[in-house]
Amino acid sequence: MDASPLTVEPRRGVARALGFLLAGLASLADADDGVEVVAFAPRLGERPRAFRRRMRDEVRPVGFDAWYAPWSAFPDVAVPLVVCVHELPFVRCGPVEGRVRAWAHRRWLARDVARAAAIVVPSRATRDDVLALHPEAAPRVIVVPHGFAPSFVAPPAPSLGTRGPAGRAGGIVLGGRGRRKGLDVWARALVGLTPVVSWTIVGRPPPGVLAAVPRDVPVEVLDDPDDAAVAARLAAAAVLVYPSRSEGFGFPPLEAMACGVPVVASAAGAIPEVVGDAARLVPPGAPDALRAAIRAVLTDAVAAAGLVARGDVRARAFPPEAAARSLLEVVRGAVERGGP
Amino acid sequence: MRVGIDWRPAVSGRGGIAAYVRALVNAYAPRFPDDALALYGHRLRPGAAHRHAPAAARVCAARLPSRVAEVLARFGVGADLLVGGCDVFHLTDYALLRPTRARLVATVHDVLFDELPRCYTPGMRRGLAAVTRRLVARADRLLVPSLRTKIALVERFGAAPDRTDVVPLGVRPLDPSPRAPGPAAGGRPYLLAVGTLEPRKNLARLLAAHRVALARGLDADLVVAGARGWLDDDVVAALTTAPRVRWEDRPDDRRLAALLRDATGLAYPSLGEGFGLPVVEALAAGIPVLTTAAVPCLEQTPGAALLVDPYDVEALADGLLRLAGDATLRARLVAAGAAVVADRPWTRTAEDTRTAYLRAVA
Repeated sequence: MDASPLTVEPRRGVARALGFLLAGLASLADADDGVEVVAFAPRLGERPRAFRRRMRDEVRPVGFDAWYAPWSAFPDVAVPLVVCVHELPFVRCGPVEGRVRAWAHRRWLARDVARAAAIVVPSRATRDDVLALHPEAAPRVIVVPHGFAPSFVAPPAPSLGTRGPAGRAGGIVLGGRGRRKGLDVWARALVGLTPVVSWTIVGRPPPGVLAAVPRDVPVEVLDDPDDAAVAARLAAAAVLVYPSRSEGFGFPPLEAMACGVPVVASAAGAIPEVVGDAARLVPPGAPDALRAAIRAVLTDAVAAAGLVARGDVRARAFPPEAAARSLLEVVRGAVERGGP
Repeated sequence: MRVGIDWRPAVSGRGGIAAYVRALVNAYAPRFPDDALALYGHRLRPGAAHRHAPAAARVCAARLPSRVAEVLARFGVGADLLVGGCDVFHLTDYALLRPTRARLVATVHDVLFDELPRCYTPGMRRGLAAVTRRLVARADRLLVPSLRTKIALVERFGAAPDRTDVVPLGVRPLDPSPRAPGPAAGGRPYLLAVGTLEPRKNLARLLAAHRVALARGLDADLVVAGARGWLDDDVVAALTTAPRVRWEDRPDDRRLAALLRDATGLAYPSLGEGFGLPVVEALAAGIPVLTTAAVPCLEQTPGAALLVDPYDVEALADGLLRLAGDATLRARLVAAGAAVVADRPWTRTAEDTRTAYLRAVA
């Protein structure tokens, strides 16, 4: 497999998915002998093109039965190919990340469909999106939810006394490219929201969002967030707001749940599949509904505590071993079937 | 006790750190047979990691790039789980492979990138300093090869003195292959210089001093054994053009041993060392040594080598002339050196290292 997403900073969703997959595979290693993972990654400072060339040259002599691509980039290999397609936001939402990216996504997907023996998607939502464009690929598109371990954000032995919304203040939203993360909806929901709390935007907000935030609402932007800074904000937050218009999986709600933070999210893309009953869901693109939901979480301690309790369970619902085992099944199937 | 060791430097590396890891593990395994040794050695080719490893140790050759293995701890699979579980994990190089549950012991070989900044590229300085800071912050126990390094680590990186153990390196037995070639320079006597071609090894001044000494009647070639390192363009140019100088590029252990066996003396005018393994190895081979007070392996017994000012080319030339021309001096140095190395087998290093493991686990 190509492990290069793990070497790209900052490590976003694709890297998290791959990290948990490798962790799951590593913990299966003893139980599931007969499968050996060989991972490749660029050297420090190695450019993508040079890396792909080296990968191709070094891969051949190693000898292996299948190639797993954690994103739509893979070397020219003769063995069955399994590609992970994370999300296709433009299918339902139009070019929320820009037209160029939508065009590129479309081209990558066409290549994946043409070449892959199996296409792994992290959610039913992404499967529907793939099939909307390539219905002929249906038998090869298989849902394997990503793995997640609460220890990623929470200390291994959390002191339960510090959990729950009591004593927490402030909210967190996620920045990101274009309109996909729905920060414009969040900014409009802040108008008239009581109580007024301070907010942290993790990542770069799209242009215009900060200007739309009411003046009396304090907002901090973590432009280049590191893990420690995010963990510190999560430990102190009273709510995570996730108003995305489209997600292929969505790790941030699970990370918030692992830290005992109640989650308000939009019912878009894969979010309902991932959060289950452990988040308060609102229709995407509806600031009034979002405002009401945030207010409810900030003011109704009982409801918030319920979300936290269910979130604690939900954060454990995606053991990395299960994701690894499911992927191995897909890979075995692809090897048995051969090419696309 | 189950001990995990970062074996990666032994798999891929040459030079001091690779020698350290191989010698330590190969001394530890027979000395403490009840401890389960698990070696983490990544390599794309299966089997490569098992070379140099003692039979008693379990080698875990995960085929993961180091950059990937080093972030897996974040996802719940630390170094200890990668080797199948251990009580203490020992990092042997400047690389942070974080364990999930095991205690962490880290060897910091030197902090010369901070003490001699001009001997390193800015990128190396930044990278090494960042890793060293993280090792100091995370390790339960730090190992350093000399008191000099401990002082530097405590003063410059804030390491806790009571968590930092001085564990000197041992002397590995000389093993020249019987078929290894004899004298390197066509039967002429030669002085040997050993080390990666990097500014800290002070080869430029050594070459200048050799030229001066030749002009003053020195009858010895200079053989430089070492692989290319960094900031070495000038030295490489000088090596290939200087008269009566030979460069042995990337010698393996046996070749190095053969070169050492037949040398008149070792010239090791380093500007700074964490320990200075080549010096004790030369003494163990009965070869007299010209070095500097900046090489700490003789910090207890400075009389065992001829010491000069590494910045003074004239003094270096004098040293070379005395080393090559004064048989009485050579005999005295060899006798003193034998006493120094006699009580420094690698088993002692292994014992001291195990004491640190026990302290980390306690």
